[in-house]
Amino acid sequence: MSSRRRCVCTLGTTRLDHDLRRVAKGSSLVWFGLTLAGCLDTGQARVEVPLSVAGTALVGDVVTKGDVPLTVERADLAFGPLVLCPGNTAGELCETARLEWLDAVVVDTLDSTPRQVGLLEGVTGQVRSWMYDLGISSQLTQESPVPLPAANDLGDASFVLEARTTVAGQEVPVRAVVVVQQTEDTELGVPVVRKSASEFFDRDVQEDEAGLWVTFDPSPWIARLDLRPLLDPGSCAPDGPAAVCDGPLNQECAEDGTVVDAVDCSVDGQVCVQGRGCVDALILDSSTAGYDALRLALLAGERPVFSWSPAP
Amino acid sequence: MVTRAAWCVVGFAAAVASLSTAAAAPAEPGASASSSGGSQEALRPPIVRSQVPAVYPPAALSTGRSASVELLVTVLADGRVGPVEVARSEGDEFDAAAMEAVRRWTFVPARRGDEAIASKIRVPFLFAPPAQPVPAPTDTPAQVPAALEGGEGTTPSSATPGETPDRADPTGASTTADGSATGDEAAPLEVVVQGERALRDDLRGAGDVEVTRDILAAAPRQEGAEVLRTAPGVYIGRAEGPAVAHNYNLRGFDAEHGQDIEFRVAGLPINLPSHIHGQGYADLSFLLADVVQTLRVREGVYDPRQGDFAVAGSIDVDLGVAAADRGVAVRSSYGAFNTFRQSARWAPREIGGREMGEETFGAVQVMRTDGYGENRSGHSASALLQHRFGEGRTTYRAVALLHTARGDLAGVVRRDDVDDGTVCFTCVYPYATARAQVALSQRFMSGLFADFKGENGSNGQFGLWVGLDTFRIQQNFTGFIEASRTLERTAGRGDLIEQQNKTTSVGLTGRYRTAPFRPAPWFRSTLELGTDGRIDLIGQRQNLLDASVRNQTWDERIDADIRGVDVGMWLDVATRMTRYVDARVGVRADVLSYEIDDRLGNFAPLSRPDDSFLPGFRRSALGIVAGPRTSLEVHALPWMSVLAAYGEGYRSPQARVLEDGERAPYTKVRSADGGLKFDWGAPLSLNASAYYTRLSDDVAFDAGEGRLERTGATRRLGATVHAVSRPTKWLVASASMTYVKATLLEPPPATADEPLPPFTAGQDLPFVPPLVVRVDLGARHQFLRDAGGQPLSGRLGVGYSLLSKRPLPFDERSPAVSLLDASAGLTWGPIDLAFEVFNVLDTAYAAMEYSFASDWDPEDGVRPRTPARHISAGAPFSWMLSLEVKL
Repeated sequence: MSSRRRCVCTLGTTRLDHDLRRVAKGSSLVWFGLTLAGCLDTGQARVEVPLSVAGTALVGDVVTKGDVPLTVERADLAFGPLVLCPGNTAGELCETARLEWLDAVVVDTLDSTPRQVGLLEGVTGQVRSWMYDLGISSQLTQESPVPLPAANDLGDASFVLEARTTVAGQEVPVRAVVVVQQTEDTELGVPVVRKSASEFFDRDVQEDEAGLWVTFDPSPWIARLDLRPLLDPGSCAPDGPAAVCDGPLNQECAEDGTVVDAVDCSVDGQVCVQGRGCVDALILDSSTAGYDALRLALLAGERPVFSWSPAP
Repeated sequence: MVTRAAWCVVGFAAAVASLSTAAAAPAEPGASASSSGGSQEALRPPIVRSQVPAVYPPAALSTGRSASVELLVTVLADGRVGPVEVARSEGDEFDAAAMEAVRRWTFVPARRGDEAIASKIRVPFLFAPPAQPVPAPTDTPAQVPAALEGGEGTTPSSATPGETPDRADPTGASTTADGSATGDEAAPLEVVVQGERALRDDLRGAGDVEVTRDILAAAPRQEGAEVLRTAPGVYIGRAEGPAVAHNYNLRGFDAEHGQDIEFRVAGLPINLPSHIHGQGYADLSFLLADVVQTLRVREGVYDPRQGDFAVAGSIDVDLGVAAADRGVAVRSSYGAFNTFRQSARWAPREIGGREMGEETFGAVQVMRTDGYGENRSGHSASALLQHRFGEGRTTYRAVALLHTARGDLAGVVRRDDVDDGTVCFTCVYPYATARAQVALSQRFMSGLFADFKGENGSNGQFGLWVGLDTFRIQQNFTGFIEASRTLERTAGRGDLIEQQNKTTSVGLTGRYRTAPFRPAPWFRSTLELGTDGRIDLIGQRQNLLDASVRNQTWDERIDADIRGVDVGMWLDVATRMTRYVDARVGVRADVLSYEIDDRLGNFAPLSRPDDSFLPGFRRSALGIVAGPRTSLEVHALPWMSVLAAYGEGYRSPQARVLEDGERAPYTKVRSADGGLKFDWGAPLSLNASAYYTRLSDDVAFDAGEGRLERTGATRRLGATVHAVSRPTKWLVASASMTYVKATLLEPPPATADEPLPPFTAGQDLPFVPPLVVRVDLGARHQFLRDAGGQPLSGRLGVGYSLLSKRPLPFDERSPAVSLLDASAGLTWGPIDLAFEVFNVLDTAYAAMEYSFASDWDPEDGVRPRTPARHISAGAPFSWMLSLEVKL
């Protein structure tokens, strides 16, 4: 790697050079030593690689599990910090990283326009794995994970989804605010989203590296949502739930399975969600399977695309 | 005897001729003598420091005649030989042979009181033909030798003018001369001289030098160990406070705390094998500059006597107090950063009526300082004692040192934090784990050496020594990135590494050099057999401490006992062929064995139920390492020699990393050296050498563990130029420049545990400055002979060091370091006042600089993982005022 040799003193063409030559006249050994002393081959080179992020413009609705179409209106992701490691496995084995970006930004994953968000800083050489956090970072010295400003912008969350779907002919807003952070089950102080050993990621980073472009596509994550259990019509049954939705009707059930009362949510412009009754929107909180599906998708689902080229 | 049978005769110094009865030379050293100047002061004769034998002229062999040449030799005030006159001629061939020899002698100059003066001595050479036994005064071969080997000094003695010493002197003293005392350069003093033989050649490579007291004292020194900076290619820095060894650099070797340099002080081996803070750890903080007489610097490994850690070379420090400085002296010093130093030395001129040589003295020093910047206060105390006793062919030398120091450490700070103002250059991070950095050292060493000087030039030495060393340090390099390996989900409590090391050592050394063997007139050879060895009992621990909870231990990394034995042996044949060629061929072999009780070995509770095994890994290893040591010196001209040398040395392993039964765990060094030595007497002597060394397995600093780790094979190709000039009586200058291309050849491959090794093949070796320049300049002059009854003299000194940019891991470079020190002093009789300033230009420099990943911002929520530059600030501008009174 010839570029790793840097002649720090640029003697040879400058006026300083000229003057020094005059001074060193008759002392070529001194000159030789001084000249070479500035040229050090350190094996690696410091490098700053522009980092850009982009989303993916969705064409049409995202069809979730159970064939529930979602019209996604907002899919903001807090992304960062990002660490690129020399080994095939990230995590604790990446004590010393090759490149890192310690900031975090909110990525509009529906916007395919690339945006440079910072510089990956480190040294040249092979990178074979990556790991990143989703706006909530953890540090060995902290009892709890720390939401970075990007996550603050999302309400101390990693991902915010806003969409619409139609239930029984009525349009229903769908909203999820997902937090992805270190837990007791994860390694201490290590970014939570990591390349697995079986995934391929390999790049010999050079000094003239044009850039790294990370593209997110939220549709596979959203497609993992299964809204049917919340939206499918139900009916009162013995030893069943105290209330069920049957279309727009929110039915109150007796222990013997008979309907005690029924309210038409559509009268007030609401929809009926199983277990929640009449609501203005379908909120996927942490108690729902949909929330878990989204969190799992962000952690281990469809990976962003890493492209070693300048953002177009 | 062989020597009598040898038919060639080198000239040897015979008894005195024509002693001038008019001379007023002292009957005994130290006695009062008259001079032309008329003053009545203690007059001391010059002492032969080193000699070169004269050779019977080959062209005269056919004549078979005896010849007695007498020379009048002017010994300059700096100890060099000045003009030489033939007082009694035996023809050009014999005259030239004698003159050529004597011009290469060196002397400790004559002194009147405290002042070195020029003198003129008469040196007779007797050339005996083949088959003609050498007559009195001695049957030893050559002349009036005087240089003694390591640790020994020269005991001056004198013959009474007008007397001729008889041949019965068994020590080989052989030359005397006399004359009238005059005391100034125009009329040099003639005195009686008696010298002793050179016992062995320690300096063999072109880069080997002996740095004498006048140069060592030229520039100011903040502490005794800084005398090492005078040696060519050497730079020492202080990055970890007064209780931790310096960082040493020698001609392209980043020797860290001593791993690549074999240090001996007064014959005591200083390096500590398998020390937890660095292999070959050598703390020279006990050195007191006032009692350092000479440095013998051997660059490379060409002398079979060089043992473990002689990778870049060896540095032998000889202790003593010169005749002019003997007596009792007390010095008090106060300086910047509330630094206070109190020292005392006593060097009796005689004990029980017997005159003491330079080697007998005692010295003690205590020091305290607040230190520059934060968390750098320290205290230390040192005591050194040495005494030579006994008479006749065998004399004895006892030496002891005692040292303790405790100092706070500022540790390292990230360069980017300094640049953005998070922490100041000389500050420490505001966390308990950073402020708890501290070190403690305690050391005792003592040795008894017997020196034997037999007939016909044979000689030998036998010595025993013992050492006790305790070292403890708390140090944090990486901030808050460590996780406990023994306690689950315990991390981030501060990476305060605690290291403890306790070493008890016992060792011996012995050697015997035969009398010269002369099978032909042009051939003379001696053989030396020697052995040295040591046993070390080492206990060491490394833990992680939580400074915020009374140093609670939250991880154990090392808990081991090591017993190491090193038995070395060597053979050395030194041969002189004609007057032109000196060849030395030798071999050295060492057997090292280790027994390791690694109490944490096989400790893996996180991967195996901890009730399924007992921790501990006991093992043993033994290895043998051997290699040649050769050197050739051709005296092409009286003032120029050509030298070449090749040798193989070794460094012992860090025993704790050895596997059971590992047999060849040693770092092997192959070193070659070639160059020229020019000697034009006092005006200029110059060495120019080029060298090549290759190490089988080098080591470098690992911040994560706070210790040295393997880095793989390395190569160094370099050159050194060293010049010493004494152009006038009052000025001495020494300058050296070393350039090296140090390359890492075979770094360890990436592993799953370390996928990003900091080094790559072919890169410049980290931490090694390619260029090291050192200049020492000293001037002293007597202003008044009589200022209120006492002479008044002054002195100035300058020391300058330059280290070029150094490569660091991960494409970092430390800036060049340029340091200028200066001093001025006045001596009025028994009172000496000195003012010294250090780092005159107030350069903000890093005493040490590293590159590694750390997290020193524990509250920002983000842990950085890429390597960053870390510095340990060097000392800024400081001053010291000292007052010494001789009692």
